[in-house]
Amino acid sequence: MTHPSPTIAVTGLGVVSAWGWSRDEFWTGLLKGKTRIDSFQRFEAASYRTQVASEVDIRPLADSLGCISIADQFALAATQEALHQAGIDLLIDSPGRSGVFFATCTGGMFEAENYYSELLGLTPRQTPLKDLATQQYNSPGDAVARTVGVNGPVVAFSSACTSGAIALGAAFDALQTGEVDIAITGGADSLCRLTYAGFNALRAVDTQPSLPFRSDRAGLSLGEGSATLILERLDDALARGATPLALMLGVGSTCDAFHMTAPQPEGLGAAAAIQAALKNARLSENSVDFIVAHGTGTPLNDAAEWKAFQRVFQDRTTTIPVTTPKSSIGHLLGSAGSIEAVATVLCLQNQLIHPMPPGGDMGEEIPARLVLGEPLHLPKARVGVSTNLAFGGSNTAVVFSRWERNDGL
Amino acid sequence: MASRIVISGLGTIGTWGCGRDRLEAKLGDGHLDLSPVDQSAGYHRRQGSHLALFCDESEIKEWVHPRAARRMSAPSRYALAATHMAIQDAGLPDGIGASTTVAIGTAFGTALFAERLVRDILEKGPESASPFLFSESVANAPAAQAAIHLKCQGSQIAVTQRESSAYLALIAGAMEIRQGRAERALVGGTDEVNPLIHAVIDRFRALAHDPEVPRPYHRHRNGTIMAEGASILVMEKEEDAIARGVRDYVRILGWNRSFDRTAPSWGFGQGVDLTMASIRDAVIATGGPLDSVDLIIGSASGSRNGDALEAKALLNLEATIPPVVTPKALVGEFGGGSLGAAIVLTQGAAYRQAGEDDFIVDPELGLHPSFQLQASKPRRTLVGSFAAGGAVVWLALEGVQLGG
Repeated sequence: MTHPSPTIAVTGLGVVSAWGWSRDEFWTGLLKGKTRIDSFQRFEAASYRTQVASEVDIRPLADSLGCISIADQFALAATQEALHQAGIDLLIDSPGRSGVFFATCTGGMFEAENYYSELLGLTPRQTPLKDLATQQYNSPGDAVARTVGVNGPVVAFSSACTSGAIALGAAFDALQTGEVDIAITGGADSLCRLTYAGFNALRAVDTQPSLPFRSDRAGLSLGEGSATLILERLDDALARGATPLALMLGVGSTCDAFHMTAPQPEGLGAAAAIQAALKNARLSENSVDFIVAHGTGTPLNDAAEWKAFQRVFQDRTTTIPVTTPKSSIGHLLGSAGSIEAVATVLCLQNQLIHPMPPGGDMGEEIPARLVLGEPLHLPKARVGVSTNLAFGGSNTAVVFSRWERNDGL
Repeated sequence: MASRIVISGLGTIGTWGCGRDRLEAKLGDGHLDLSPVDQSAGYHRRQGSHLALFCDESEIKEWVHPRAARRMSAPSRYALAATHMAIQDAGLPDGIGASTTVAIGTAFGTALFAERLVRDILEKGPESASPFLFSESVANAPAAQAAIHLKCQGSQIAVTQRESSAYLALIAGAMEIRQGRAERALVGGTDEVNPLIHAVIDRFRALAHDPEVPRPYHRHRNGTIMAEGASILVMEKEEDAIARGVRDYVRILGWNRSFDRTAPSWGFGQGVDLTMASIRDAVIATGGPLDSVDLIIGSASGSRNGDALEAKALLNLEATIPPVVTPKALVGEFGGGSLGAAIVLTQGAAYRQAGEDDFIVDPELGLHPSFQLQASKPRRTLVGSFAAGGAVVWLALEGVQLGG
């Protein structure tokens, strides 16, 4: 396989999800084929149309709650885990120039909602003003950069559900153009009233855990958490003795230019994003072994996404395994692209496609080869594609490949 | 050799009204058009800042149909209006083409819609949440609206890095072209003045008060002035612009993006060495020494710490630095005005800033900005941007005016 030059390697992964505060707990949880979408405690949900979400246990944050936002803390935990796996300490090592490319949809909105409630006199005043400083969109990425010792570009992206993938693409570009030597990329979002009520206002939330691509799917399930990937040029990673976890070969990004909330129904933009990513990766559609889909579980998204797959993969569409973490850990909004990229890498590393929780009716509308209940062993899997679609019609696709020791320079 | 990327069109809306001519006139008249912020909600502190630079929307209907505008937040309609202006300024048809990226930065997004939504949820219950408000409350709503209305099918990117959002969006768009993913990019920034955000920023002591004017580098400066509006640029490869007959444009020579870890999340740091390195990197991109730069367009806005950081970095670079202008004294902070100003100044616009007689050099900084520039041939400029929280951006630009 001839890779694009310079080839970009993934050398570290970090995750905070409803399965726990680590990558291993995330992966182990996904493999169970069960859901973490359930009742939640973050805010009172009885008066909402739905009452389920995927919530991270924040009891480990008890001492630090209120100092920085929950989203910031998710970002820091995921990043520190990823850097540890990569064997990089920016405060001690001098691995060259580093950058942070981070995504969020709402930053510290939950904390801002609490402050605003107090400002309106609905709850007693107790939140100090300084807590609002970590409410902003740029806060998670800045917190990461400040804490781990980044000196190069720090850019926050908030392109709705494609934010994480767009941040990945920016990191990829910065490495390929030589602007940075180490790229920390990821996303973080916490549950908040604005998104929970907002998606419910659109009638886009299922009352039960979501059923992506099933014929009786009825909407998405919201979640929270963070994921971080450490990216480097492959030759730099190998030169310092790191073991690449996977290669990031390409990225594609388009816009439907169609509607603010509904996807283009024929999946044209999403298909174009996948095709652009494959072209960027110098791969044909026949190279793709599995897909980690956006798969929100909304009627329109899944239908459009399926049509996109059909446009790209044609006769192979019904044979390519398809999965998504969303029915396990919910839709993480700004960090969805990041955590699903992590899932893609873990599938490649382990040559296992993680399952979605079973249930729902398959029907004939979307005859996808869904991985349900049990992991699928794919010992020859070399290439995976992660896709995301977003409000405003943004579409992204990222191509990862397995790395083996005889790959390289 | 990689193609140079150029800026071939500018659209802008702010206190100056609509269009580059109005912005050039504003930069030349030196007058600050401040208006009071709505304080009826009781958010503001008594001794704080109560003024801002509001958008003159009197001509916006020429660019955004009222029926469409009614369905948008202010940042979205400003961005869409500025995008239409930019395309016209670039001499392009409205159907700009499928391979166009839209990258728009915003510091606070569509904050007023988000506030209204949260207020309804908290006061009336979650079932009162408006789907319209929600769909427009995402930070990429302005980029999405521009892409939808102009049928741009390239990447749609929203950058949200506080004061540097517009500049980082410019770089994101340039990367899309450089990496071969787009033929053109519409890039820039948009913001609105929301009373709640204004009051909160003021409570962090970031806004000018007593007097309520931004006085960059002044010894007694005490904050900036919030502004709203949008500036959008058309970017394309230089050879494509020339082939279309474009004769006046701005060449992007290079940039540096860095991060000052000494900055707190709500303010600016003391990373003088890092800032100097950032500027030097941008100078290298010009291909010449610092004295080949005609003008430095500073990020200084009246912030005590932000202005200090920039001034110290500039003055520690070399004994003599080019003239420094501070357009945020006229266009305020946020809303893309400083990016628009940077473009027209690079293309040779005149500049006049009131207050020279009252200017007192800060002895700790020792920097006296230029209060007046005559209109000139296109310039080579360094443009700085500092964001609260630590992001630092320097752009190297060159105005070009082809003969014939």
